[in-house]
Amino acid sequence: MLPSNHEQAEAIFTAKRYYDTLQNGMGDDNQQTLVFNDLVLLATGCAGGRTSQLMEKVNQSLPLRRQYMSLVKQFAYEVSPAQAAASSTETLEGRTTDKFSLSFSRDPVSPSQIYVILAVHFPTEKQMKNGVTVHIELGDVLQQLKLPPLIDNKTQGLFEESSAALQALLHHDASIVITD
Amino acid sequence: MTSTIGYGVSETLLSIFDGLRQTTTMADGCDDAPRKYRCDDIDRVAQYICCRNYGFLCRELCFLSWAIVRAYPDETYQEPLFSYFWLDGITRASAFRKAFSTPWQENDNSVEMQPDVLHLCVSGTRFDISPTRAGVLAVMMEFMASIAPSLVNNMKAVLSAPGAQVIDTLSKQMQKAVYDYLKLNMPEVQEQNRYRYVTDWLSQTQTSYSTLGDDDILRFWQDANDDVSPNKPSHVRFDTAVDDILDTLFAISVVQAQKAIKHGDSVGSDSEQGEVDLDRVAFDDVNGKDDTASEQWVQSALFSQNNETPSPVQLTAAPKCLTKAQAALCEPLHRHKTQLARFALTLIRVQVFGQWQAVLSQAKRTSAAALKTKLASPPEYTYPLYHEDVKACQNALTYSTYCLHHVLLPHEPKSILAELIMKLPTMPAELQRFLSEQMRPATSPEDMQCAIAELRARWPDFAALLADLEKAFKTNNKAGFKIMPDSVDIDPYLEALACVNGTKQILAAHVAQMDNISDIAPLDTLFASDVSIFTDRFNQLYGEVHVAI
Repeated sequence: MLPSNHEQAEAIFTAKRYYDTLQNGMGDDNQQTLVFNDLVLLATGCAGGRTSQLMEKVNQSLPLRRQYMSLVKQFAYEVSPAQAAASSTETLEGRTTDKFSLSFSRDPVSPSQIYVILAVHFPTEKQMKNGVTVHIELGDVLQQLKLPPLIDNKTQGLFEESSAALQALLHHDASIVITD
Repeated sequence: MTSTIGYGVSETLLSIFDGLRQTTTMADGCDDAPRKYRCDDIDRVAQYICCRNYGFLCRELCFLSWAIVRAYPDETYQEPLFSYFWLDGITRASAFRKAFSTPWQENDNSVEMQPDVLHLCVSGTRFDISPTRAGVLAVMMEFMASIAPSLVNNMKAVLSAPGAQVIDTLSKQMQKAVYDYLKLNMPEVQEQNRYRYVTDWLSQTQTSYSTLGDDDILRFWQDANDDVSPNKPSHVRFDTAVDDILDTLFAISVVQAQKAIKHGDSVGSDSEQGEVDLDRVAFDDVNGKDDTASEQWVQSALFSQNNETPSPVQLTAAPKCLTKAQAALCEPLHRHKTQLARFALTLIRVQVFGQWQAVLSQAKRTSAAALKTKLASPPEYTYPLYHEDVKACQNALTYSTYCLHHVLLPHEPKSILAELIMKLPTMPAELQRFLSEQMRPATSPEDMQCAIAELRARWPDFAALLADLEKAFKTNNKAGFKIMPDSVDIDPYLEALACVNGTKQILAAHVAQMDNISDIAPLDTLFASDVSIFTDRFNQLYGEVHVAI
């Protein structure tokens, strides 16, 4: 009654079962799973509407965070590490490195909003075409700001003072990475 | 969410494949951005993985990566692998050819795009990669990046070293990574336990697998639920019992066919007579070791001999041809399409009572009272209603075919025209001559548009059909059919058309089987007798005892 080559039939049965399961998936479309491609999208600032959703996932997992940061550094145009000492209590202090300078100015009309002004000294083609992404790492949290394409090596964006990303950007302990 | 308990594949592995299916291209991040990988390529990688036949794929990927590191320079970031796989996202054959259009050579190493293959020479070792493998290799790379990110990060450094040895080393590391991962995420024991349970039942009940019928499956489900031995696999759900028994039959039939071929006459020795090469079907006992349970054999037995149509589930994404409910209806038929004719009644039972069982187990979770009311009344969904649903599905697919033909005619005139002409009564002889004269010199889709326009003017039947197509497309407001796509975006439509045609055949066969059944006994009579069997069993499974608790 049983086939003599039991082992083969078992192997086929098992493989077919796995394949069916893999093909059906979890059956839950809302549960977006993060793959490496998403990390690259995020690190190069191409994630568009999904940025905040992906960023939230990255912030929840240590291995993903590590992968993301190493990618950001790989694609980096310039890195500004955490400032050694908080020398001043002035909150609107900018940052300057050899390749970029970051400054802030309060909007004269509505004082709760702040302009982030970024000057890139040797801009790449992509930065002039697609805009600049600023990655901020402060403590355990990663943030991302997207600024419009450079005009005359400068770009600016307007943010609410209360926004988490801006607060992180203003912080001395934050390490900042600029990519295309 | 589908429970994977008892199936063996872990949620992590499932979620990686889900992630691969949802991956979008770099272009933009909006919700309906084009998918990066083709379903076929992902399924192919799933086949390699579940048959544990990934050795050669790893090696191929290592050779490709070696070529990328050398012949695909990345000026901006100095990360050729990242550029190739993610920033430029090369997953199609045409992009692959373009990427390697400039040949590269250094000492006895070279990378050259030949007409059919990418030819590599690594310190004297030769290796060819076909451009059509670009998609599969890209999916595998993404899979590797998910299970072993550090390996992928170090690949560039490892591959930069000279000599062919690096490829072997890296490929071994990759295989080990996959092996270790699968050890945790795809255990074997449980599955074989299920298989053994079915074969044991077959021999205990003296049932021959060649004569096994619909009623035997029902009996198996009931027997399995009466069995109280502690280590038996769970068969509470009717779907599970059917899946197990049909998969077992399939496995047995493959092994039997293979045995027959092995002991048959002259098979494969006379390839000029169109005989199948034995090596492709079975492996001879080389070195005295029986190799027939090897990974490669399992994969070829499972997939190479089967003409796979893609799963109807993909028809619910843009271009949307079926609703989710309709796709869910087609899915079990697609999965068991080899057994469609033999177990038509079982499949109807799965579709109708499987659904009812799901409702009951859901009600049980809610409250005892909810379960009691559900159990008291017979299911609302009946065999005649199911018959109507399948018919509705067929109509939806026919309608989608019209729309797909309309979308594809300007871009793929030859194949679509062929399909359209098949639908019409015989073509007038003079038009046949005209068409063949026009078609032969035509090289681009644009050349053929004039011929199609003239055909339309001269052949009223054809004009009427084209008008119907256009009307269908205009009234279709589903995702993917709102506007005509550009010629670069038609790949998903071609895939959808293949899938729609395949699913239509399956449904047509199923409807014919249902009609055969109802010729013998009307569907509602059958339903009435099945209701009593299932209600009785469901009462035992979910009924009084459980409600009292």
